[in-house]
Amino acid sequence: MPVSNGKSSWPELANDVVLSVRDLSVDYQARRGLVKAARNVSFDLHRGESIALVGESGCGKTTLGLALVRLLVKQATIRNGQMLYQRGEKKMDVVELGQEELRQYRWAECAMVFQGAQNAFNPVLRIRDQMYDTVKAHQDSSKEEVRKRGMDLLRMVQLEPQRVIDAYPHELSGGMRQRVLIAMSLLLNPQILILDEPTTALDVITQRTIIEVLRRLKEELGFAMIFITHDLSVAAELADRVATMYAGRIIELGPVNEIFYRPAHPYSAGLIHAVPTVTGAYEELTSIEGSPPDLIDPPPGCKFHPRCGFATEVCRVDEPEGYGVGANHQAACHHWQTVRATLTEQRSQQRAERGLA
Amino acid sequence: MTAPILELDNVTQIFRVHNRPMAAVDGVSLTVNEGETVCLVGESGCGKTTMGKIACGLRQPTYGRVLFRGQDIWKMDKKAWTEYRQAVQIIHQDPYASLNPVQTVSQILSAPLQRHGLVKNRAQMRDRIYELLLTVDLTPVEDFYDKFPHQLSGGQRQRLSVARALTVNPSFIVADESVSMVDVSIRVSLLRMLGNLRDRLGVAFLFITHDLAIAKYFAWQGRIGVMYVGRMVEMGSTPQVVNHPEHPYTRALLSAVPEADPELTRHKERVSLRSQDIPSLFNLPIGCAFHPRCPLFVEGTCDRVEPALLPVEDGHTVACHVATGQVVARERAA
Repeated sequence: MPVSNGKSSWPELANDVVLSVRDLSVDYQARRGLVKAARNVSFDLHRGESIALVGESGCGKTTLGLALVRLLVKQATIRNGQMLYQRGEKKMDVVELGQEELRQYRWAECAMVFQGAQNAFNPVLRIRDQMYDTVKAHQDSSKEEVRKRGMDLLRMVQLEPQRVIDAYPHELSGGMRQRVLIAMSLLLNPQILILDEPTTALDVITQRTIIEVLRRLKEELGFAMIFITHDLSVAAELADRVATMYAGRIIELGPVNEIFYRPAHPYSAGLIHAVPTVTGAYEELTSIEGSPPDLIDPPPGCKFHPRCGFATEVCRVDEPEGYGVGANHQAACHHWQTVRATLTEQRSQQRAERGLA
Repeated sequence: MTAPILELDNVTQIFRVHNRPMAAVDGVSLTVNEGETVCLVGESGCGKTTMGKIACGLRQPTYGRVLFRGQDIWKMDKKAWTEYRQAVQIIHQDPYASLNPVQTVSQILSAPLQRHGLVKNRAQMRDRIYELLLTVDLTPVEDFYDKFPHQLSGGQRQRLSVARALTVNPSFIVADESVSMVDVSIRVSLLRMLGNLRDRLGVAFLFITHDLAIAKYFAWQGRIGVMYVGRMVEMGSTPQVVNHPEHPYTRALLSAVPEADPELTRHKERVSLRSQDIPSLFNLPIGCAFHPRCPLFVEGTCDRVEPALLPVEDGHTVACHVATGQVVARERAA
């Protein structure tokens, strides 16, 4: 709700912060108990930056993405936390918004491109009509205005506007539909764009187009972007910062180069070392043994300790908070110094040997 | 071992869709030797899955022959056919769809053992199932024996699919996108397990994937074939294809792949194509099917004559007028 009614106090937020997520926890009611899908997640999203949320299936990244637009299923509850959104004079805590305010917030302030949604167009409506429906739900615009805005956006996502705007969804390929979807998400000029697995299930060359389109759009339109991906290479391409999630928490957050070249959490390092590159000579990969924890009855202490080679007694008892491990770089690991010393050294040596460094 | 275990000889697969013929695979030849790993890569619709199905006898090609250890599989007598079907197994892409949900792990594994008469009694059956579960690292074995597929994670299901393929001691496995659906952290251990089967048991693999980095990792000692709209456009040893690609399509694919290394991926040289559109299989361009997108397109040749797969160096063949022509020119100059 807007602060003006005085129910909650508005904390100091830096001017360039568009969304500040603080201590956000979400759980699902399941038959066996509460699934703690997001636990005390905190981060700031700055104007024009892109954050990648990475992690394995079931780590809570989609839950977090849905929570940001309050589209969680009804079994889910936001247990605690705030999501402070600001745009100029407009300030609101998204957690407190009512239905009508939420409707205004979604798409106009914060738009989301869902996973696999390129297959969820209304098959009997032309693209121009789907665009018009979207705009109509939020503001008074003539069909002509919407068409013009739609064509501009289609051009920006490198589609032929004349052909595409009058097409039915089935006349477009999967990659084209994904680009139409991105164009549609920007119709109302949102300040934040959330994308859930934007390039998954697309072919390599199509994936490349989407990556380039997103990069260019972000530069031209200046929105902030949160994208959820299990594919670290997409994060390496598009992210300014990377947040690694594990068992519902952000366990490491930092600038993209820091995360990839100087990871301080063994799980982030493990993910990075498990992905082969195409360029260069053959490389040995390492896997992360074991499987992600049960989110209903997670292990005590650090949730990663059963799979972690660095775990000691303290990890089994005490869940680490984020340590500052570098400039704008936090990691929730008791042994981050050892982890970094061991793994970073190994990694840079390997890169050098393969002629990449 | 260099004797071929499986040869696809000039195979063509024609599908009729809405009564219009369409060649999903068009005159492709491929040899896999005993114990060798061959990867097929390409985008969706390039025919790689159809190739896999043809290789394991699930689909009879419209034209061309499929030879297993020198014998045409579609002219085999019953005994030879049974041997072939035991020797060749497939691991599917989706471990959620390819396991019977109402059978337990032990039932899933015992069916082929019984069907092929590979065990004599219950005790043997149990021993064999334990051994299989051990091979695919589903341990402790007792915990998995009576579980249903829904009680397993994606990675565990895929291990079970591998165990099922191993029941009949195959010497050739077709793995169709077998690790695409599992998480990154589990993928490596699955690949390593498959690699172990190859190294320890001498199993040959036809490994089908859209992921070039995975192909490179798994088939580093083997070969890679690149397919485009039903045709083989490049074939060679993995280091040749990945590090020195000759076909413009292979180059475009490799350059488009994002890498899990920010500096590398942001400074990678990109091949730009003249068009983004993959042609329809119903209406392929005349000549080289890639010519409308190809950056090296030469008018008058590429849009008239279909290029043959020609050698550019030892064991490395490319179907491209320009690439093969360039190599000839280079040799002449030298």
